[in-house]
Amino acid sequence: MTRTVVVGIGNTFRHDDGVGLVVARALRLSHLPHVSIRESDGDGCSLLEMMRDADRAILVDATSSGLEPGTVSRLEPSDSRISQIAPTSSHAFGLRDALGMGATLGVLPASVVIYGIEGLDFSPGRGLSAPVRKAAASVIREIVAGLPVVET
Amino acid sequence: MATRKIDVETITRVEGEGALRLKVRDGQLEDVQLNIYEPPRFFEAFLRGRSYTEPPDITARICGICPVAYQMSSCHAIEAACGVKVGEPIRTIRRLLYCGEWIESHVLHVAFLHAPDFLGYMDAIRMAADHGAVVQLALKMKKTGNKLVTIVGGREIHPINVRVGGFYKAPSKKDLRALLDPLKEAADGAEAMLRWAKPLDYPDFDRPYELVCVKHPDEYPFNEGRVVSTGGIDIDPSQYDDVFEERHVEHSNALHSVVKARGHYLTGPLARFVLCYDQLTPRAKAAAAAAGLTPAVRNPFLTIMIRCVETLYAIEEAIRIIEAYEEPDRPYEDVPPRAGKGYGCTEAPRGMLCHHYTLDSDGTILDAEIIPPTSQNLASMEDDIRAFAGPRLGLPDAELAMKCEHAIRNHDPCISCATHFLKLEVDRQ
Repeated sequence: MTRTVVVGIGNTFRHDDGVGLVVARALRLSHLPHVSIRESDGDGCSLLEMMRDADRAILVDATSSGLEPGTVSRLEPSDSRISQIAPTSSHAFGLRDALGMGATLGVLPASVVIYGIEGLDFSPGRGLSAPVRKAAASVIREIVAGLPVVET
Repeated sequence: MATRKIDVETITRVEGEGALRLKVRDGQLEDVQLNIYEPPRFFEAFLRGRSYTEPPDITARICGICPVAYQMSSCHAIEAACGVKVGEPIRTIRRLLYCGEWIESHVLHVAFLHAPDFLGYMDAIRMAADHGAVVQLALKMKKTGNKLVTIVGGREIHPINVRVGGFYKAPSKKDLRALLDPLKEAADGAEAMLRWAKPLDYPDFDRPYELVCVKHPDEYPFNEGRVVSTGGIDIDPSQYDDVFEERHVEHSNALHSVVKARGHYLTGPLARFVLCYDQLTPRAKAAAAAAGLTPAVRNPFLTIMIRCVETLYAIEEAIRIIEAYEEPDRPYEDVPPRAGKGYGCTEAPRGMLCHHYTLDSDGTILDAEIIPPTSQNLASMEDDIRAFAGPRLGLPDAELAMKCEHAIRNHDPCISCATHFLKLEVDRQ
């Protein structure tokens, strides 16, 4: 049985920064079999723990890289663009560090995919901007479509 | 005159941003400046005019590593201003929350931030390739600390369950008891981490610090006690302004705190270990003794081992509290506002954190002062660099820069808290 974990990363009180969490919550409502849904504020150590026992991890985070708002980047941990969309935080240990550390320790799931959704509005407040809301919906569809078919 | 200039743009693996400037003239170290360029954050200013119930949530945002410390110091200061002293059950839950933060923060600093300095790695990820076991151990221990903060504080970072007077909701006995096994395993882990750290290469570097911390007669300090020092200070936190002051220095956005009568001082694990050694548990004392640590220690490089001892203490204390825990009838006490000034000093993982609030009779904050551990330690960190870099000026610039960063990281500076961290510039002429 493939164990999949979807981790939404972000902060819903910073508008588009919450898109990872919005995607995770929508997927949770779908009650997908053999998929655990987790939410993260971006702490790298916790991210590693959330992925530890999974065969497959899907991470969803907002990006702020200068792309067109709503642009979805589908990345693997080795992708050099990771450092552009997930710069090292002064708050010690974030997504990029977690992926680097996980790869070094050999504890990453066999498959890790990161969906980066380019945000428009990272100001304080709730709710997503229109292009990001649309991108979230397409990421949700893509994640569900990519899940293994479970026989019932 | 020979001119040589080294620029180390950013000191990494510390919280926040700043720079270190060394001025060398004819081979002699003439000046050391820790320049803090992260802009001032004005927390004290925007607390003015707000309600006395708000600082625990607002000031927690100052730091992602030690938000609990901000919550605890603000609660204590506000309760002191209002003339309320919370009872034992709430005080105990506060200690438990603090245990979680110490475990999280110390383990992160020991294994991810400080250890790479001793072993010559640029970062923990590169260190993990050769020292995977200790990194895995740290991840596991940190997870337990995070769980403790989550159960007591409501979430891992920036807990939401703390209020003036106590907590919104008391943690459940069942949730806490589930932590006992991971905590017992983490206690063994802290001892293993200390054994791992013991053979690291420690420079001889004893320093003449005046060490300052909160001291309680019966407990290793988290959030209650007098403010004491190796220089004879022994005051109630309310007498803080009589003994200490914050000074602006031109080269830094962070203020420098000094003992009015004498000058620089140091707060943090070294101070607590030296001044509160008697309050450690027998197991923590035995672990310290096995590592060769005694209360006579004055070498800041040894703080990596002291953090392991303190981690062990925090884990044992958490176990003790959880084993005796009964849910209180009410998770908070009422704190009616009144006009006055209150002082709160508690021990963040990296040192003493003091908050002072002046309140109006309706609880409006008229004035707020926040004195984070890093601003108290900045002047001593500059002194350390002066003493440490001086004899090492012959080193190539890149190597000298790494040595200086190591000496600064001894103090686990939280520069975003103190701006109030780090580029290194060596100006040699």
